[in-house]
Amino acid sequence: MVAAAKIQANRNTEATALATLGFDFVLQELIAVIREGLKRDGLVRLHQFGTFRLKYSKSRVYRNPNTGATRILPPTPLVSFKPAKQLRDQIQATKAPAIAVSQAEIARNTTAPISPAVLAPRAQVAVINKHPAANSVMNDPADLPSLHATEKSAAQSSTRHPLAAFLGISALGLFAAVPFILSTLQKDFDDTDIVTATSHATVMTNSIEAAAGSVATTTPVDSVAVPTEPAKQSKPPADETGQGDNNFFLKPLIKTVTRGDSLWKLAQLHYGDSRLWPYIYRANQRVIENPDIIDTGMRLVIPGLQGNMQALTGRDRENIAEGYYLLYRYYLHRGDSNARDFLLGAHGFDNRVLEKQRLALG
Amino acid sequence: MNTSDVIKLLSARLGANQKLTRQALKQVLSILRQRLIAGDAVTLSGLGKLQVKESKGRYGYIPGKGRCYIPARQQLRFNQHKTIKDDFAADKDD
Repeated sequence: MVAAAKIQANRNTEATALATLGFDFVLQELIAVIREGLKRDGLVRLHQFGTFRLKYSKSRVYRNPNTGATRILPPTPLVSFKPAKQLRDQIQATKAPAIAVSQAEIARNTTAPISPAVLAPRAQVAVINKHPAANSVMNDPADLPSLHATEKSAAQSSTRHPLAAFLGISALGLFAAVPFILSTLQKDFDDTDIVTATSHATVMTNSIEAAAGSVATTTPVDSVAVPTEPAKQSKPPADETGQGDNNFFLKPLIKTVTRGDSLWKLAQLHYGDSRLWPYIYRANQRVIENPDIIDTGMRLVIPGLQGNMQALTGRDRENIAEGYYLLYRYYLHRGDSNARDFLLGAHGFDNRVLEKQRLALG
Repeated sequence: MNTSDVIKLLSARLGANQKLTRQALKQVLSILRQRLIAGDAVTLSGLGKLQVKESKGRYGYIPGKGRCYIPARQQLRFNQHKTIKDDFAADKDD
């Protein structure tokens, strides 16, 4: 109470002092003093405000290219200002970085192919603050298998199915037909492999780390790929209820792929662990046709983590395991001998993922 | 030159005692700080202009840790007044 009264009294006194002398007069004289101080010492330090510093650039020799004449350019004075830490922190605290990535953009990455408009040059990296619906898109494992099937069918039917173009079948009809065919085929295709692989996985539970390591090393680096054509939205973008958990330890980002990037490198960069690259693939499965190849200019969602790397939450583990499982299916379909490593990886992060996927496939 | 030196010089110029000058200076700096925090540009006539600008997020390199992401942030920039170049250059020559 006494302290508060004292502070108030000090404020009143300061206000009185300024009223007596006049703000403009004091400021004008302060500027003159700063100039004088810079001339004299080259440095003026104002407590809790900042430091003005005078430096000189190096003198250099100037040569006129037309005449060949040379002359020495004198050193140029440069006044710099470094704000005090307190002021810098206050400025930082008042204004958060701009939200440059919308929820629609995240939804587009997970549900539809990337469009040329998205590939147009924009701000390179942006931070998503809190998008509940977007989180639900990335973190809801329930709709993953159906989403995957719908996406495959949509891609094949809407843009790349030559048979559809030839026969003139409407895209709507194919939307309905292809998921059923695909899911039936995949069910038969996966069931046999899952059973054998599960028994294999249970034996090798302790060697998950090694398996994931081998996954990382076998991952090829990126090369140039042609971006896909624009396509219609095949699925409503996001759950509007916003049920997703917003408590991120690592917030989601949008990253524009540059030359030399790969999913493996991005995971190493953002999570500090390259084994999490299937998690990035999972969030961008609609954009990435081939996980071995990501195209420069692609805008990829780097999903957030609720826990840190030492203590991942159950949901994180579940999502990562699903990423591994999606890759397992992809490589299995491609006939790659490393497919089984991904299954082991999935099992290592969440051993219930196989049961869930089997249930989802019916 | 630190704050005490500034106060001494300033009090001589203002014709006020150091206590009063200190209080006035504190108040002036407080007002400037508030304007900057609010996002306004502050022009110090004959010295330069202080303004808050947003820097873009970028990737940086920390020798001990490696490549890291530096997020977008608000930064205070100072642009010096054009008279400074002539005034201080002349002084240097002298």
